[in-house]
Amino acid sequence: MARSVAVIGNSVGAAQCALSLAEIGADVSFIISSRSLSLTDNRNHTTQKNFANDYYRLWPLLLRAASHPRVRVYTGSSVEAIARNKGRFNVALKKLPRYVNESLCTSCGQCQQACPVRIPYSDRDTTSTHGAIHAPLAGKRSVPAAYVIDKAGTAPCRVGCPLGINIPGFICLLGKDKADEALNLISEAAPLSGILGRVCSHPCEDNCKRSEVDSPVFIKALHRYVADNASISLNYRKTGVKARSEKIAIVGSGPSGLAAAWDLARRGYSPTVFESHAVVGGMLATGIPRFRLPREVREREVEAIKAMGVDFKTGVIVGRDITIADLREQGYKAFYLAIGAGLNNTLNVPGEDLEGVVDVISMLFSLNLKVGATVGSNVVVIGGGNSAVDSARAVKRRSQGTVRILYRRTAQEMTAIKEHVEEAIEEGVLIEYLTAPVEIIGDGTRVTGIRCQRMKLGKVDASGRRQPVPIEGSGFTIEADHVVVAIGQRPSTMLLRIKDVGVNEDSTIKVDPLTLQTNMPDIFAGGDCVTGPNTVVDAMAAGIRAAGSLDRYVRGVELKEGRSLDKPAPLEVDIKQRYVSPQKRARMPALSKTDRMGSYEETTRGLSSDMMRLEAGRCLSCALCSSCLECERACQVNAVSHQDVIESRNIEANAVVNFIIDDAGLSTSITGPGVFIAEAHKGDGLEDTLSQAAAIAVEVARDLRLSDKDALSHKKVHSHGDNSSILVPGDVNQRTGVILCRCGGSISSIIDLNGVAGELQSIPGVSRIRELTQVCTETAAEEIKALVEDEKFDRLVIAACRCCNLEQVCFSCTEQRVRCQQYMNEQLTGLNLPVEYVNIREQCAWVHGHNPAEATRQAVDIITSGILRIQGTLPRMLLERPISAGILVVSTGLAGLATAAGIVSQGYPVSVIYESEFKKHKESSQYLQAESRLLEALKKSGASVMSWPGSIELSGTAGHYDVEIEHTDGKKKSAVGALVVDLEAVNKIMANADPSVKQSLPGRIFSWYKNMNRKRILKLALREISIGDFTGMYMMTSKASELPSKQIIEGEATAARVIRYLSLGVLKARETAIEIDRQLCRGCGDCIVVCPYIEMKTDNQGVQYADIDRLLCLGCGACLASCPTGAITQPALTDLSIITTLESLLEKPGKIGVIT
Amino acid sequence: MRHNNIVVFTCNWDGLSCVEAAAQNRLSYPASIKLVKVSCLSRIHSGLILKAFELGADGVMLLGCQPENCLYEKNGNFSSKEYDKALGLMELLGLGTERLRLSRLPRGDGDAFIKEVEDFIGAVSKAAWCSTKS
Amino acid sequence: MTRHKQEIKDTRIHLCLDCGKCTVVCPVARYNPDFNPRLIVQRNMQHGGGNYTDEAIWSCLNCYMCLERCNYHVQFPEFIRILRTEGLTKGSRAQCSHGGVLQSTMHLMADEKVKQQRLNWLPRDIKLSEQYDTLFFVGCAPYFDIMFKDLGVNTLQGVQSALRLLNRAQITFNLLDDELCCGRDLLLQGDKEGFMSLAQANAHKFHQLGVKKIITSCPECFYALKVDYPKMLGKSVAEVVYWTEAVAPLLESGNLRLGALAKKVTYQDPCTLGRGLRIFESPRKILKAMSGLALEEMQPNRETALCCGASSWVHCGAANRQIQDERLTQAEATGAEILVTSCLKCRIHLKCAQQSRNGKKPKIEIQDLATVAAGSLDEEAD
Repeated sequence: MARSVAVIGNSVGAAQCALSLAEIGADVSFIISSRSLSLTDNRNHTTQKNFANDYYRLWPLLLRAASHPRVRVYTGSSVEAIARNKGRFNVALKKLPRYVNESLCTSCGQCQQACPVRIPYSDRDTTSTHGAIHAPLAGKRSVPAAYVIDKAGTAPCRVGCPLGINIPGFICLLGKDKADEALNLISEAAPLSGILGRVCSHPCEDNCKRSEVDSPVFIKALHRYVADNASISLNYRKTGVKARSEKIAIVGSGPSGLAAAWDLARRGYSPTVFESHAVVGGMLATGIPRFRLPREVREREVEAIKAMGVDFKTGVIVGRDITIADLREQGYKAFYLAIGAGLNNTLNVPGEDLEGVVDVISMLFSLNLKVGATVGSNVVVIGGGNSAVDSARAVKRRSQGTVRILYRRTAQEMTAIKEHVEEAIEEGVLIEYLTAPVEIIGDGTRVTGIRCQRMKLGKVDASGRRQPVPIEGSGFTIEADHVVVAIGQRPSTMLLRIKDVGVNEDSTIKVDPLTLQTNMPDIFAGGDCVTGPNTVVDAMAAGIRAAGSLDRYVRGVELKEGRSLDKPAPLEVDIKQRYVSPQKRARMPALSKTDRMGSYEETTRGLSSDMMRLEAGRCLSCALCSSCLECERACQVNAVSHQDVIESRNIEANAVVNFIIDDAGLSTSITGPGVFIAEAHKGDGLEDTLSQAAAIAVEVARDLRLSDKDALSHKKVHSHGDNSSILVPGDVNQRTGVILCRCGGSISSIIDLNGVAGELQSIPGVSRIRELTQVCTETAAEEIKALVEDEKFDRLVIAACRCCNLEQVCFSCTEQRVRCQQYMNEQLTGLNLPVEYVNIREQCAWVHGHNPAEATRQAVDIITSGILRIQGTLPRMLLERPISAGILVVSTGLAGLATAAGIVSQGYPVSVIYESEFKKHKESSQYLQAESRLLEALKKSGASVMSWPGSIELSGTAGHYDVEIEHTDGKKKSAVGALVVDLEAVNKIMANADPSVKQSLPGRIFSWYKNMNRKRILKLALREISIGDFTGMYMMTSKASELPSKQIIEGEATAARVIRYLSLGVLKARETAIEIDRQLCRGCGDCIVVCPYIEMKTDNQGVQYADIDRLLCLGCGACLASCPTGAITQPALTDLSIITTLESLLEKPGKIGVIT
Repeated sequence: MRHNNIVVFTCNWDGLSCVEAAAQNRLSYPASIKLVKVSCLSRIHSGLILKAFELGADGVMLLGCQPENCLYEKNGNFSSKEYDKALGLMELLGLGTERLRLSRLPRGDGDAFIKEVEDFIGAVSKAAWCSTKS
Repeated sequence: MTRHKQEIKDTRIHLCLDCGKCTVVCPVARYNPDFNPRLIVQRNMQHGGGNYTDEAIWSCLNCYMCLERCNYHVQFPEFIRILRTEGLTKGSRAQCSHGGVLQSTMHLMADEKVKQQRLNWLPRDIKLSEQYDTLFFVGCAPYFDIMFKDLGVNTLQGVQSALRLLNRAQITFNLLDDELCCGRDLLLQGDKEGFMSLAQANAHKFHQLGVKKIITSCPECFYALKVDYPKMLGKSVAEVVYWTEAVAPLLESGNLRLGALAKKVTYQDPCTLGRGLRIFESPRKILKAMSGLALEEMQPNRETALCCGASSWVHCGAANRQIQDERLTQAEATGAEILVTSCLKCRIHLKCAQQSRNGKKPKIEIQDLATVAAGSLDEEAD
């Protein structure tokens, strides 16, 4: 049956339309672009307050629409295309990831508590912050209520990191003192944290957006802090990977080799690493002085990698002791060359061979690893790279004499890491800029000095730096007894003795930049031996890239598939949106200059925890969510998944309603047959917006001929004939069950539920108390049902976030509370079990979150009061009455005709009394056309249209009004379920109606609502949505003088309400309905002053008494307060139960007298 | 001295929406606040108000909608008769009229609710006689 | 033998012959078939003691009609009181009128922390004595004044008038600023505990101030202080006098003269005052002392006068309303313009009934005896 409709657009109108359609019987796909339903219509709310006022007022509408079983909401979805064939639409959707499963999430908020990110936001007149994972409308309830994660691409720092370490992630975790989690997060991307935290050239910091506020976040120091302060011992082993037998050889145990070994091990291999030196680590061991990288730090990392099953063969020189060919024979499937750049460039000046002239590599090696290596008293280091600076500083620590660096360019061009240069100068190393050696002079055997000349900077050369040019006649000599040549290194492939590995003229190895494969398929290379001298982090990145290739290679997988070198697009970050005030970057604590001398103790000390927290706090979370996955860990219902991606959906629909008004984001202009367009007009009031939406629903319904007949008949089954009643038990009262909801921790983390249970146990009648993680889930409901049956409960109290067991949706209700009741009702129907809900989340855990003891005490009180209330419920009759199908419309304008047409199109029998008041108003062809069109439609569908009768008698009550119409051909009596009347018709009826009509329910309602206007009708319509309205009487304001179009919209909107009412099929009294005791009623009539539904009757002894049709009672209780004798009671909430509640909430004093 | 007991009779609509909003924004109100929910303030009569005092309340707040907002179009009915009656009796009893407050707050205004109760608690603890029970 | 067994014995209930005369004269039984004194006694005396879940007990008006008629003077009203007291402890509940606000007020009064502000209404011209040897016991008039404003029963005016008359009669007296409710209403509805706390507090005050004599204008207070207190506290608190008893003799002796009131009036005997304490004539003497006043008796009157239809603020319903209707009809039948009574509760109840008599307009004014009498003084003045 064609009953599926797609409603597109996120506005209160769209919600109304979706709800009306669903109520009429359509299956609705409700497509909205944002995360949750909103009011967006063309009215702007100036202040928070009047927005809130409207939002709460319309909340029940939104909530009903979203939670209606026939409505499916597609959030974050935009329409890509709409195809139409033979009256069917195919709507193609693009759905953005929410990262939270809407049906699982119970918005308990634990994830946000765990989220280390704080994102500032401003909501009209307030500003505050929320987590990267947060409720769709921060600080306000929303539907769907499921949380959302804000992600904005990859953070610049992370883009800058060759290893792609999740920098914002570990900083956030660190900020929350979660060093262990931080370490694990980093170790997902790369090993050697302790090393990188000390020697990394931190390209990340160059990208840091914080520098736009003040200066970059000190990421390197934080990285080191993680490594130094994590309590967990370093463990790189990855569980659940299948071990691989293929043998892989790695040549060189420098950063690149180590990284490759680490990654291969994580992929299940047990690679062998060949190291020519006795120590593992390459330059990390031989090149970087211990005062920058302590031995223990390096060894800890190496041990951890060893522990992964990596086999290190030290002191083995591949090419001399063993060749690649031999290894191939031993069954090695692939090779990674990470031999670094070990050959020193030479000055090519005279005297370079003199004693006392050494190359930097062997200098650093001996300083680092040899004991008693001697240095001169007048040392000159030639070069401007890291090794030059390192060796100078190393020497300075050993030598009383002068240590001097000669560099041919200026400070700017130095490749050494700036802070090290500064430290060197602190330590007293002298630097001669723009100075180059011409000749090294000596006494024939030993060096005695260097002849130098001054340089000046010329034009930019290949290296992108300005070429130094000698200044004529600037020659001069400096003394030196020890010269260190540190002017760069290059790889030495010849050692390896592999023929035909392609190399460049600078003797770096030729590789494919993406796969690092050499021209020999089973050989890969990376690190300094490919790039020339470079940073540790780049070398490691190459190692990890190579590991990927090696893995693919041995598994025979295509090497390039799905890999690329390009980085994520740079992220636009609006710093202003972050409301940050400048704050100084942390300074790294270091040894005093004197302490440094003569010692190789590490110079820098690492940040203190306070400095760390401040520094971590400087991070701007550029990418919002840092993907630290804390929320995934916190969620107890596994609703969070960071893996979500954009989805495409296709939706079938028989009709499409488009509420997207002048929306730029609309990708396809949706029009054409079968498509209904809701147009907003400037200055439309809320009542116009909603009427129009409902009217559209009726038009769609008419097009699709969907009347909810099946639902109707199915309702009939439930009905127990006329005025039937079911007895709700209340007498038996020994076994009360209590369910305590943990709400995924949001309750149990504050309230001591065990303690609570202990206290409740002592209440008489309480037979069992059970804790559940989330009560508002289907499984929980099933569990509870089982419990109810096993334990034979005769009462049930559920302490969660729901706060009543009524069929209404109020301003404070939430999706969870609705769900909770839906599931429970499904499970408990037929059990006839009185259930009470008490809210211990908002009213205890949340408002007293800062004071758990108090929250717990309050919970005990509130639950106790609930138990006493439910135990006090008396048995009572639930009244039911079927609604007669017929409808009478009495109309003086087009509105009534439109209503009739709308209703009749759904197959309900309609009779219309119509007398146009139009004649009295000025001519309008529009009007006449509309009139005849509607009358035509009515005739076609077999509705009877009568002229104004001699008299109209109204009597009866809701669901069943008796109408007696007098025409020339005598009186005709009929029963109708609903009455639709416009104001002028009301006046006409009441004008010459006899007292009995005035006393009848319709008469009383007419006079109660005599000053009816559109605003008030809107109020009633919205009230219907919250608590229903069982009178079946509908009044319209429409005057014949109004625009035909306006009248028709009002009429059709009314039709939607009438159809909804009729489709109920049967009326049930509200839980909150009042009762009147005949014996106690004095017939004083005070109650009828406050309520039109109460009627004064007189018995046969002439005694007056008040009487209520409980089906009509809205349950406000005003009559009860007005009654002097207590004849009126509200069984759902008697005075006595209020008093019991007070007694359990108040500290019970020694009461005086007995409670009466 | 024992903290004051404040009974808040709140209507299920605008009144409760303020309380809930406060909770949802994780604001907090003193534990001495005891909520009792009714459909509409027009349900509350002088008997219940005096009963609350009899049972040890130090103050009673009636939290409801701004008149035009009442879902049941009943708000007018309440305030007058029963409220005045209660005030009159409290005055005679010497409880002091500042112990009873009728508050009509804007829908969903959590901050307003917090401000209101704190202000009320202040007024109550200032009230001459300090509690019905010690 | 437990206390209430003894109490029951004291009611002489065992002398009941089941003759049913009580039921014939009981006004409640007339309109509420569920209320049948004879059967109530039967039901509650089987297996030698009450079953205390008998909801009918709450309908008794304590009007003493049964007692008046009973040949063996069985204390049926007291019997009901005992059943109520026991019933309350067994979870049976009275349906309080006016949402129980009056009961709460009485309970609150008994709280030692409560310091009433109850004398703000006292007019300047009223002369109070320095001593407390004679006390005028105001009663709950100030509270009723607030409770029943909308009925237009100015209960305080009654008290003020009584005080004026006493001043005029040179009878000196003083007032208590912290007087408590006498507690009779609580006692009648079975709340003995509540009554005791009030009675003891009052008695204690009287004793402290050395009160020798107490004058009241409220018949219920009168009964409480004169009869209930001695009975329940075991000793009399003072000599208790009803104001008409103090004033009437002075009128006869000519030491006090009233003014003129050219009106036809009729007089409602309050049950507690009339049948309860046999004061029938002194109020009538006061009426007759006004020149031009014609007193037209209702039928029935004095010993058989019909109750105003409600008592002790519980269970006031359809039957009560019918009794009140009947009494008002009897009053109207006399053709009097004013229905005078000296009980503020009678006034409250009858006024209330007048509000809504199937749309019938009130045909007769209802006024307080003291107010009428004091009013005539002013007449004389000018």
